[in-house]
Amino acid sequence: MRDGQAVVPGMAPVSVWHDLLVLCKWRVVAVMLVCVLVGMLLAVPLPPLDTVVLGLMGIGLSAAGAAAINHVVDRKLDARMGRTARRPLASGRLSTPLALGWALSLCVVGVGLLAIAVNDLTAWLTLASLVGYALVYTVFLKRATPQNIVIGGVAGAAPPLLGWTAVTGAMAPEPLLLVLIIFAWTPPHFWALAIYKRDEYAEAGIPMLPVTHGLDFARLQVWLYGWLTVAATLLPFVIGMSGWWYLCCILLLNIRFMHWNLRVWRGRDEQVPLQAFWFSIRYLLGVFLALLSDHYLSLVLTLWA
Amino acid sequence: MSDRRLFWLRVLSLAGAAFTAVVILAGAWTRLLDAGLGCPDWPGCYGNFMVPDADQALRHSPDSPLDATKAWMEMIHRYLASGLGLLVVSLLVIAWPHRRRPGMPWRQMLLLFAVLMVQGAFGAYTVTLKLWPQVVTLHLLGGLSVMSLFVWLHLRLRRLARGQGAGAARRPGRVLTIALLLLVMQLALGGWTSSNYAGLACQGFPTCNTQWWPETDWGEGFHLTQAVGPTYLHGALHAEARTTIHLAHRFGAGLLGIALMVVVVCYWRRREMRPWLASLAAALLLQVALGVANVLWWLPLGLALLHTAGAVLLVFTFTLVVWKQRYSTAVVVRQRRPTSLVLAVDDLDADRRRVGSAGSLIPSRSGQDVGSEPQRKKRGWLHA
Repeated sequence: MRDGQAVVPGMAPVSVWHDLLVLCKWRVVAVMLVCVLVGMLLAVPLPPLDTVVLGLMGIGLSAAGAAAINHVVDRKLDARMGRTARRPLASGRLSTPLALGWALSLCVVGVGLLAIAVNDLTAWLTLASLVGYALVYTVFLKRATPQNIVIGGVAGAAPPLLGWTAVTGAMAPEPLLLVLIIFAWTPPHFWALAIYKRDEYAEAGIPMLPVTHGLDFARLQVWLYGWLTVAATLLPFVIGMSGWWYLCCILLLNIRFMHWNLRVWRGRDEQVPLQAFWFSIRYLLGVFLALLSDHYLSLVLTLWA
Repeated sequence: MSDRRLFWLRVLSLAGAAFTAVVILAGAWTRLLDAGLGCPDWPGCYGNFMVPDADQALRHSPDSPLDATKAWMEMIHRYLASGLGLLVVSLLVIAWPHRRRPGMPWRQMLLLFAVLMVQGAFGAYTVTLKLWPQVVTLHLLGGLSVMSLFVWLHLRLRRLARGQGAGAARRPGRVLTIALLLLVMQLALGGWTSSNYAGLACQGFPTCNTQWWPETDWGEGFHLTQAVGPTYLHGALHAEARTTIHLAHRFGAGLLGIALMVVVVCYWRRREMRPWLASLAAALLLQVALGVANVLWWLPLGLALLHTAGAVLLVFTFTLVVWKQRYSTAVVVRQRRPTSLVLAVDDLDADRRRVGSAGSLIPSRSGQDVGSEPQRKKRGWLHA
């Protein structure tokens, strides 16, 4: 793999720092931090500023570390897929020990910051989801079973919980409900992409559901998990965490979400799964926005009374 | 249909810019009246949507007695800011159906919304952290960037409405970038001076407390993670630290002044930028004069407010200069053949101008500032 190091003519040399930043998957980390922030804001209307800043930094660094470990573990796999062959480790621009050192120091600094400046519970939970994503999911589940993203989704669903515990220092049913929502949402979200990119996954030898069980089965699963997501998103209203405003928003969102999932299930158009994938991202943002706006609306409404 | 939407977007973005200036000045006024802690809680005032009576306030928080004037000032600032939030939401709602239209600055609208939400949070932290200078300063910077974003949005929408895409934009040069950094730094220093109550820490001008180089304490004056609290009303730093802060604001003004003058000189040869460069220079002079006057007359309320207004004006004119620079054409016009889109657009304008001045009753808009110029290639008034 080392021969990839030769400079390709016409390509600007990329600095080591840029590569190290690529290793962190900062876009993914940014999305995760938004989820963390949502958890923080739902826990307390106005969380303490120092907790917000230090918590986001700690969780962000840990997430970046986990992403870097993911790069290290997947380097050989990445080199085989066209989409990922240009990654710093896959192309051999960065050495594995350097990347591993970088990844581990990010994790240590991140979790250490949480333990020292935020609270122990958040540090432990972050460590658990870090191990869950970087080791259990990437090293083991991803290559072992088509249920990979279902189980791995637990780690991906952790951010709002981390935000919540960073602010309150305690577990509660509400953040677990947020975890449940993201957990149920992950399969229809990700399998839609997997259906679209089935051939690439098949080539790389990753047992994604559409590869192992066929497209029709995967489409049905998207449809069924979609209903599970609908049920999960109704729970905040049921347990009294959110009010009528949330219910209205979520009904509209769910109708659109299930409309897309229905089209995926029918499978008449090759492009639909990709569009459904993009919509599912906006859907989750919409759910968060509905939760937050309901939260602050009720806060302002209590002032009238 | 679509054109009407675009019209309303332009109106709202312009109104938003003006409204933001009002909110910033209301915020500055709140600060100058020491009314920032007029309501000890957030988002309500003593747990109410409106300022309650003294009994109710006493029941809500016995430790902070009600001062109705200050509480109202604080609440008016919050109502105005909420109004600004509604304005941005309506902007988003109107733009929503056209968010994918090429050239529609949809992302910038989302950015505006996000910055405004952060501003709301800073406003809240101003209260809960009891005027912690760091947050107060960021709140000011946030407000000014909201205004800048509105102005920029409006200019982009105008361009879109005229059918000119986002293409053919120039990148800001090094001079402009440095000037921008210095401007942000100087605005931050201004906020830092105000929030640490350092406005009177250097008396006399040009000397400071009759000395050219007074005793300073940089470590204390710029200790950015310090939290000596619990409250920062009337300042928590000792005299030397405040003198240092004030001094830094003066030096910052000098540096920024030089940088802006360099900007004016560098771009002066682009004719269509001249009115904007001149107004930038005028805003700078005004702001320096107001700063000196504030020192000499010991910070009277009116002058102190005007100094904030001067900062708003400086940011506004600077934004316009950056925009003008982005789409200025003077250098391209020197080329013989119409090779670029920019030049084509410019010729289009020239045609329109000819029609305007020759045949119609409507006087050419650009005639106002072009008349004296021998060269009629120049583009019009705020003509992006």
